[in-house]
Amino acid sequence: MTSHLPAIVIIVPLLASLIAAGSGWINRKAPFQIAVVALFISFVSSLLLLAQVVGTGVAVEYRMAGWAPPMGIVYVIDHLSALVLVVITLVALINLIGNKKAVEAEFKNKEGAFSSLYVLFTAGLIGMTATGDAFNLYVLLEITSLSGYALIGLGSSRAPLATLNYLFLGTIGATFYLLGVGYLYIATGSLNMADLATIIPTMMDSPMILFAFIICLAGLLVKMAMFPVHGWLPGAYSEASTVSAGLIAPLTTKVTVYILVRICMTVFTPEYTFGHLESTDIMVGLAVCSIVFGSLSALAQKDYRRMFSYIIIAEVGYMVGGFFLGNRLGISGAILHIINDAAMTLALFMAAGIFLWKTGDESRNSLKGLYGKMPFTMAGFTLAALSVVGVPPTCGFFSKWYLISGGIAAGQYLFVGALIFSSLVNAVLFFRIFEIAYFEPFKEHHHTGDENGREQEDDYEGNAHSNPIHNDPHGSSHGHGVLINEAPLSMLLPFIGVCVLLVVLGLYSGSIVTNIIHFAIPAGII
Amino acid sequence: MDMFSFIVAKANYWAYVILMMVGLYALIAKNNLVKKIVGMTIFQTAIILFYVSIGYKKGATIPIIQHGSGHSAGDDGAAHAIQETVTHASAAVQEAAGHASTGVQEAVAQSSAALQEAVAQGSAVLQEVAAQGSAALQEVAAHGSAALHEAATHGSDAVQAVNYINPLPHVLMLTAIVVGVATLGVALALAIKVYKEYGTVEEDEINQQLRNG
Repeated sequence: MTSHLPAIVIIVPLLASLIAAGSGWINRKAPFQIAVVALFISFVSSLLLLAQVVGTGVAVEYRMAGWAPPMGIVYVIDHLSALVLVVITLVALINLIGNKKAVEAEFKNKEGAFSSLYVLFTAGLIGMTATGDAFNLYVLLEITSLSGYALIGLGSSRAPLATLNYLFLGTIGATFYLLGVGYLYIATGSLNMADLATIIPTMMDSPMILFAFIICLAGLLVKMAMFPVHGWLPGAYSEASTVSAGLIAPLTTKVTVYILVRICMTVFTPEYTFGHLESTDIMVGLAVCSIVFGSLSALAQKDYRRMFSYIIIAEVGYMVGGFFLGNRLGISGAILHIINDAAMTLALFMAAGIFLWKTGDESRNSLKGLYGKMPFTMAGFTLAALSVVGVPPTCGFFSKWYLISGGIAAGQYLFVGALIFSSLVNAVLFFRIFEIAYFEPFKEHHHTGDENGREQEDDYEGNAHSNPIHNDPHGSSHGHGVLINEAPLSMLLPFIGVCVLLVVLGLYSGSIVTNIIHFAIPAGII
Repeated sequence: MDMFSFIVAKANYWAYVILMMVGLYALIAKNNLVKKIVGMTIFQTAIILFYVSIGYKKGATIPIIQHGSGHSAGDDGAAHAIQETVTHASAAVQEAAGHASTGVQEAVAQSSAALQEAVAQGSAVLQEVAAQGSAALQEVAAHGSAALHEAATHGSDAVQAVNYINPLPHVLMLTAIVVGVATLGVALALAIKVYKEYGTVEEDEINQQLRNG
């Protein structure tokens, strides 16, 4: 049984997606439950895999249908992919559980389709992380993207247009990657990553390899929304429904960065990427642009979800820049930031989901007085915000610490400057929200202007209005003596869990780096 | 003229690059969303053409073994041919051995008689015997080698890669075509939703509406 874990981790959600799609006709609650169970099984399997890999110190290789590499497709779980697998399955699971009510409200009569797409998206990400075959990666990349387009397209009325733009750019990105794999195949005659890694060092001067590298990289940069090709991200993420955004925003860009690390480090080998090509200066320069641009654009946004989306673009710059520093500190920081940023973005988008649920409004000003009304949610949000800014002991501080020390060690002072600048901008951004939410009085106005808001929400507020004598603190008391009106527990508890996780990740980041990430980086890199 | 032959020799690659650029241009510069979708499809098709042409070889055929159906049947065919030739060859060897032994027996009887009768005649008889025996052995050898040769050509036909095109890129493209169709389907569905929302698929008109409202 345990020898089949690498297959179980992807096959269970893949089959569950099929079953969930049909089960919606029999029982409306079944698809959601199937999705939760499948993701839970996947999560447990990836934890076991991580334990196995850390315990034995050897990568697990799984031959699909018993075909030996390089002919057959192998799934390889090493320290890096096991870690990312745990992150993917955990984020997907928590986000789904935490948004149960939002799913019921937003996807009424579409539960089957939604749960199916949600699990399929996760299965695609798991496959991308686990596969050891360059073409298989493309197929899974497209499975992820297609289910992602559908999930985002189910959002607000503006979502289809934003999704279509995402689809155009996403297809260009994926097709570029496919083209790169084609040239790699012409040059080497292999598609197996481990096999490629043994062939490429023997033909480093080949222009075909160089072209394959550049075009693969270009495709991946489009997919992860790096600076000049980031245009699709803010629209797509801010128009998606909250539960879809909570899944896609933390995972898509992060897993694509993981793929970048995998391609540059495992397939093309560090000697080629850093040594032969000397890619550091160009890529770190691009990352600096991404960080500065993302931060400044975030500053200009009025809607908090758009603001978070631009922060993601800056964070992509952190990770790509950190990786291309090419030293152990920088790469450790980049990998640690994949985990931390997934957790931080999940916390931010879950908070955004709760705000939207309660206020029905996306603008920053709708957050007025929320500290009084929802103290627990806001406490969690504060923690997430401090983590994004990079305040110890939250996890955001530690990955930034590694990235900055890596930048100093590599002499990339522009990158160090951009990181500090971005932290300052994030501080401004979030303290502006704190100010609005803490000092400005709560106003009961959000709903009236929002006719096509969610039904559940109207019910909720309707109850509140039906007892104006006992339960009407909003209009009169202006922040003082406001009755607590928290989000439902099913939303609040997972959210608080994620926020606690941010601190736990921070406290344990030292052992994560020494026990896991240390082994994920080839010994040749110092 | 050199340039011309350079282009003609790699016509398929030029075609893929041109198609890719046409698709990319439509995808980026066109205003109409449906035209963009068409551009996207052309772009994807260009990559499919690229992959198909890297697997192609001039004068080669599809990798299916004739006189058989599929992979294992091909192997069976070759094994069968080899078995057949082995039986051929062994029969020939047996026959030849029979020939030779009768020849030798006859010769021994004859030569002993001849030796007893006349010494002068004996050498002639021996010569005859030797000639008969060697002819029989030669025949055996010729028979056997022809059979073995036939077997060898028959058997190596199944594994001679030069005669076949590379099937892998084509198989990969089957997957890529499926992905392309799925992408096209999602894109068209989204375009319909956009049309229902704004009443148009022209991007500038949609942007106008978004700015006004």
